[in-house]
Amino acid sequence: MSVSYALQDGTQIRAVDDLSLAVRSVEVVGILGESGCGKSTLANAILRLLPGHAGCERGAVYFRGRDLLRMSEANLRAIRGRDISVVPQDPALTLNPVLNAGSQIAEVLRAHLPLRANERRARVLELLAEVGFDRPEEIYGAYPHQLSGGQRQRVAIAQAISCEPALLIADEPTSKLDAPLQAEIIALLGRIRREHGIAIVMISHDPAVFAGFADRVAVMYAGRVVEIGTTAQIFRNPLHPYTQALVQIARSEVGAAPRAGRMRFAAIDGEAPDPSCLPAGCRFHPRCPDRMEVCSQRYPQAFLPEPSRPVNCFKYGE
Amino acid sequence: MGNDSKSDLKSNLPSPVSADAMLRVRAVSKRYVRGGLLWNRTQVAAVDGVDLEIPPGRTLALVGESGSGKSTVARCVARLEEPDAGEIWIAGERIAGRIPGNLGSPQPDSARQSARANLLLRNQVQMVFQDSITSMNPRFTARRVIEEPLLIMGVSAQLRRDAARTAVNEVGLSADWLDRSVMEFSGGQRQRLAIARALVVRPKLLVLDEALTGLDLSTQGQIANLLLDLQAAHSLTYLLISHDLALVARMADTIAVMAKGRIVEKGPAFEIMTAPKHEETLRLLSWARAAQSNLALISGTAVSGPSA
Repeated sequence: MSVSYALQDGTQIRAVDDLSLAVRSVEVVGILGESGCGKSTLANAILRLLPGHAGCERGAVYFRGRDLLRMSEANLRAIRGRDISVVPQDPALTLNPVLNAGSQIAEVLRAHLPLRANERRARVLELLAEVGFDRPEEIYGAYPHQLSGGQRQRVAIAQAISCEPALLIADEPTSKLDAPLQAEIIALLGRIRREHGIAIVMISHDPAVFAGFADRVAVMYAGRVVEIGTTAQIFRNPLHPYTQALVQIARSEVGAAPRAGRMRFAAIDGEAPDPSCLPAGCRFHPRCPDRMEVCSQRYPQAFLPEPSRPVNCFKYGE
Repeated sequence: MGNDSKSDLKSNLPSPVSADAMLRVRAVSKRYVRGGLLWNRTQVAAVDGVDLEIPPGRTLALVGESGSGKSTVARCVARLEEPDAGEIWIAGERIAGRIPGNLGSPQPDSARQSARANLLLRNQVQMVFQDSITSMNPRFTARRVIEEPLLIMGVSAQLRRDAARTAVNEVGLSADWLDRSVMEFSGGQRQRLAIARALVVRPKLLVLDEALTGLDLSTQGQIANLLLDLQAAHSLTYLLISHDLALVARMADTIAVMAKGRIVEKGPAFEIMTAPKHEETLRLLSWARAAQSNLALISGTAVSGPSA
């Protein structure tokens, strides 16, 4: 799949470039990448939720054998929220401020399921209890501004799972929350996946959220997936130099002794490239410690140094 | 505002301000009104009698969970809020604390003079926020964002241009990008831009309110290193506000832990990290450890397969 944004001056920026990814049923796939690497564009492109100046120019998104990108708007609407739903990064922006939490969840049910009003209400209360509210009745009548960040995220999750979808797309659902809330939300998503058999595409810049949660991780850099593997493979034996650098930073954060005082932090030198002027060849080569001559000449195809372990890097073949 | 008479009394007494403190916060309180229109109003003490002191060139981290009042302290120091009681001194000058008939301004003589004094005082303290883009006009170019504080001060165009160029170089951005819209910058670059805007007026104290939160690990490391370098180069004093104890502990000399509007524990960073006493500190440390153990889990320091 490729997605481009048209800028005001007429230039096109390709945010997602020739990307392929398969998600099996009941699988959790993590998408790891720095801000600006195109991971949110990918998430929004799957359900055609991109803004008007963005165009999905190439590729296809197959869901149960049907191409979502070429489907009619009416058919797609039947899938959004029903078979595939989204957990947003910031529910404060996606929830309607003038509707109470319960009726916003009921709205999704009304759009997709033939339930009577009292059945709908019962189902909403059941969903609120399921996402961890002790007193669902109180939350039902609460407006978004009366809820805390963690509570709003739970309401958004209840909304997303209300029609028992097959796939959940979670775009950085914890990045605006405190550490203990993050852990709670991840645990909740893990439980929902186990109990309802929902596949999840989880997008994050923080490798820690994938621990014990994701089955596989795809690492994105500058609009492309550079490496895919099981969570254990990616973090214990990273193959792409970019993944290796990320894992090294994560490891440096884990110290035996608590650290205090002024200490330098580990970081990858340089910045991710601007999508309007991408480097030729491998997009990571200007920051790569292992770069070779060929890296600046053409983009590396996927090599398979291990079975089902594609890595786009010339270190593993030519 | 039942405390007014008390705080007026206090402000007339000679203050035991150590001459060498860059920032001194003394018995600062701030209440917010919550609830109905005229009835059912309740006052919530967001900050309740907070004392802090930072020597020049040092860093104090003020940590606590959301709602603990740490951001309100930051906003009082940056003069975005006026405290209800207490005093704030910067480099030996009082910037907040009631003087009868004049809100916090040290020179009540003429309005113009006091406005000018206010401006100069404000320039000594600059603030960097978490989502710094929300503090920038989306129609502005990077140049305009950085030059605006100087424009307000009446600095000439040529000097403004030079200062903007120096500031972007200092934070590691290219001067070629000065004419780009702020919307074209990435998260990490916007944070650098916010730091450049803060530095352009040559402040003595930077208040960094969750300035590293929400950035990816590598960018977070880069910005933290930049702040450490800038501090060394300009002898800046930092007030770091964060919920992430492990992160700020690595940048701070002193840590103060806040809960429910009060400071519950304060001490050298290493002591707080190795021998915490208050339960709130222990709680913040346990979050930090949980995040660490997740990183250990994935990076293979401890072994566990993906959940099936």
